[in-house]
Amino acid sequence: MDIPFEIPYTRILTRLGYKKSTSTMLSCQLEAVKSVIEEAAGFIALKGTYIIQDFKPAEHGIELESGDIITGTLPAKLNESASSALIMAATSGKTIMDKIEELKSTNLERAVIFDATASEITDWGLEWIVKYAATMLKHQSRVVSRKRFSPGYGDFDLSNQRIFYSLLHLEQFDIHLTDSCMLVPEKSVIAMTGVR
Amino acid sequence: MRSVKEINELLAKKILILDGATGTQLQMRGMPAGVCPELWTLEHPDVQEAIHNAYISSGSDVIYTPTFGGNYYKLSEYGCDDVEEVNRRLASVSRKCADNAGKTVLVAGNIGPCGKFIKPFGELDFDEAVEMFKRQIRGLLDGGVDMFAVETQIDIQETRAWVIAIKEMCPNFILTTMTFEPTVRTLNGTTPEAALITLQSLGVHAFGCNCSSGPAEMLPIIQRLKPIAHIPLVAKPNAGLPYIENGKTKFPMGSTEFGTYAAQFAEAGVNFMGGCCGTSPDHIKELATNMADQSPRPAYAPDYAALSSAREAVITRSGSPVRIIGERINPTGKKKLQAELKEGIFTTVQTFAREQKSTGAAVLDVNAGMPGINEEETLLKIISLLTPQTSLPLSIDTTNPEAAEKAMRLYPGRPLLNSISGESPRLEKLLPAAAKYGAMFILLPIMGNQIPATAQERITIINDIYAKAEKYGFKKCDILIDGLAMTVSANQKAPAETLKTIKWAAQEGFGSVIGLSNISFGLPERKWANAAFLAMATQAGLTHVIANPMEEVLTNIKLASDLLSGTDPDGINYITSFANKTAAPTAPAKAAESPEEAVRNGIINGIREDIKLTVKAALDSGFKPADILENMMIPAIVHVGDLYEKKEYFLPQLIASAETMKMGFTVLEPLLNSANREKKGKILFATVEGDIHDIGKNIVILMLRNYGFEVIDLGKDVKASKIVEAAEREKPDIIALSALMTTTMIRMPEVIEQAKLSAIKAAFMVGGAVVTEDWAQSIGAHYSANGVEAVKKAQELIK
Repeated sequence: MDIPFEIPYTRILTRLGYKKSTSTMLSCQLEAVKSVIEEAAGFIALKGTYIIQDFKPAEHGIELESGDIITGTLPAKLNESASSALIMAATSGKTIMDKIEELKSTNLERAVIFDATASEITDWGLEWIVKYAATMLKHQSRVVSRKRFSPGYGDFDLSNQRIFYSLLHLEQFDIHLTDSCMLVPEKSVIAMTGVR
Repeated sequence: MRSVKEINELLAKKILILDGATGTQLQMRGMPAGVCPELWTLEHPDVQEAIHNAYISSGSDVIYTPTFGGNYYKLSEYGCDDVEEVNRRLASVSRKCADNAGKTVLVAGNIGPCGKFIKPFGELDFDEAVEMFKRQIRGLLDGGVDMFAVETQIDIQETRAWVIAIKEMCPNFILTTMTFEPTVRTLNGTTPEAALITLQSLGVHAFGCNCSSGPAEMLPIIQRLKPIAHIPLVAKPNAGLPYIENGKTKFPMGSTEFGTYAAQFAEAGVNFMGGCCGTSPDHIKELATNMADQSPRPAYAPDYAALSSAREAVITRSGSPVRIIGERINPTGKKKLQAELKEGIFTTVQTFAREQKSTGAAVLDVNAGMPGINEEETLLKIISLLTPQTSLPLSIDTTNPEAAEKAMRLYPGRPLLNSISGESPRLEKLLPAAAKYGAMFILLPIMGNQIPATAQERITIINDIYAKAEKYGFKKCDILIDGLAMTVSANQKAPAETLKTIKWAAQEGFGSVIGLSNISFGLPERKWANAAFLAMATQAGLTHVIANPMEEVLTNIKLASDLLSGTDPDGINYITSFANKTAAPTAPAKAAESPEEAVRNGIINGIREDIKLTVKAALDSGFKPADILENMMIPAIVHVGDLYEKKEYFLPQLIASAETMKMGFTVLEPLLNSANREKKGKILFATVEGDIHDIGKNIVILMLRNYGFEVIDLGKDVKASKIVEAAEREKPDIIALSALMTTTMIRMPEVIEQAKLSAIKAAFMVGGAVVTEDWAQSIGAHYSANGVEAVKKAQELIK
């Protein structure tokens, strides 16, 4: 689905190192950066998808209803507080990445702002999915945890992306998985959280 | 079925009490988790009856059919295609309970979200959605519902689709409620005001909010909607926000506390009130008891002009500042835009939208009329593209009635239709279409081929068109009268007639608009005539102007006119706007800068545009290339690095300065022979295998090169063997490695081990988002957190 977004200016500026208390940027310069952020946002087609899978405990992890076993401390912790997993992905799309690649060699400053914008908006997409699922599930008296985590952190191995990629049918979103389990376009993220 | 009139008569007498949660009640009465609630209820009519009867006994005047997920898309998830029959049977049970209640109880056909997003926000075609939605509506009608309750909506476009589907099938009362986040927007970003404007103009009979929050959070939404609501308001809050206790979902608010909110909601002007998640018959009983002695407050909002996008509303009342309708998205006279539209490219459209918003447009006019393209298709594409990107409402500007109707149907807000004249058959086609989709329209006082020259002739035509529009339910506030700004160079009396028309429109209660630039056609320096006429028209009572907000003189005159005509209370807009402009820094007077200062300031301020000229000027002043580099540019970039480390500069400023230096250096490079510029050392740089993130590496390389290091960039996702091979060939002083992921940084020691095996003597420097100093030390490498640190570290390592 397409995810509507509002530009999270503060988060993007923070990601770029802006600190209101110390940064000496003039207001017109800040406006110019915001203008580049808006331009970058114009190249972003934020899309996302999710599924909900019941699970049962497995050794150091969980076994999804699909039969896939997900291991790691964070997935194992889901056993304590949830009975289903919300598995999701968001992507800012290929156009913005093409633009960033082009800018890397012509205007690195803009490339960095574009990159930060895409990162934060992709992250925003995951937050949106969690909120959306929470709204949809509330009528079934189900609660979605706002704490999500992604493969690649701690002992939650990146190779789990292969399982999630398949379950979410991410090929339909023109997302590819590299041999090292990275998502392409680069500004694409998979995450999971618990549903009680 | 109760008619809209009958339900409004009931609402005039009392605040109608809705029911409470259905899902919670079904679960309490045995519905297991994971089943389709509609299909389970169908098999347990006794449970359905018990829930309805409990709510009726508690005081509900309206019961909702248990069909929240009874649409085609939701039922098909459970393999059920019998949408009409499921809804008919469930509604029949509700009807029976209402009929046996012994008092007036209305049955509302309950409709929840379909779980898909509709164009332009999603993939589902709008017309396909409308047709599929009709299946549920048909079943509910067959089951005997009095009204519809479209609830828990987060997407204004889906809500529109439901409303249009219902209106295309029956005249029943439509109540819609949306779910607002703590930010007081739906998850899709719609404000309550925008939703109300869009839906009440589309013809819903009651609007409000349900779910998402408890009564305390919902009350302020009702309070802010009442002053602009022309229809009854609805509140159906949860019993607080849910939490988990002993593995069960619980809602914190008891029935007594829930009921205490009745008086506050009545005072705020609610006309329907019930409960959503976590509420029970007890909650409704308390609510009904406490609401019994409260009198309903009918809608009292005065008439106003209002447009809305999918996100926000623009409300214009008497005394509002003049609204600028940005005219730039129009291919007439714009070769670049024409070429792009022919190619199906919309970059300039997006730029115009962004620029016009930032310079003060309140509405964006969208026109795709030009030879060589399919106007209808292009117009719809532009609307689909801009809708998610701009919060400004759109003005649909076309002479093609079919294109206008399709655009109004697709647009997820309340658009302005530009325009409707007295010409047949356009008038007969466009008036009902604008009424159906709730659009405002610009009334062009033209009939026949002649443009009426005098205000009196125009007024006659306006009265004639308005009489026809009234029959479709339009009020004066829904119409902007085009004052017909004519070219002053052709007829110097024309502006006076336009001003008379505007003045008359204001006196009669219409809004007004002019296409400003027409006034100056054929004149030199048109902006002055445009700006002066805008000031005069503002004085005459103009409410909207179609103009280019990028023209500074025009927007400044508008701000001044608003101030002087009293439509900018306390001059807030004027003062804010010009305070910001005077606060903008002026560049230091160039004449006062020496060549050294110009080069240094150019780099410190990251002024790429001028740096080549600045460096050339320094050369022309007699400075040697090496002097410029060593004594002006490098100290400047070192200063920038210091500012970055002190957090006074942030990343874009650091890079702007570094790139400025790089550009300036291109002027010096041919003049510096190797003897003039000693290389500081050689660095081999790579992002390790498996990692495709390289923007951080590129920043560090830019910094290192500016400091005179020779950097060989091997790129990203580079195998250890390839790095070692390059190191054997290039014999670098440092091998620098970057990685963004924990899963790829483990490749770093692999490179170091292989290099050692090949007896490579280079030092190792590592960095990247997940790399730490401890990790670097543990693998025998040096660490740098960013480009500035990398330069310092490289200088230390190559002494």
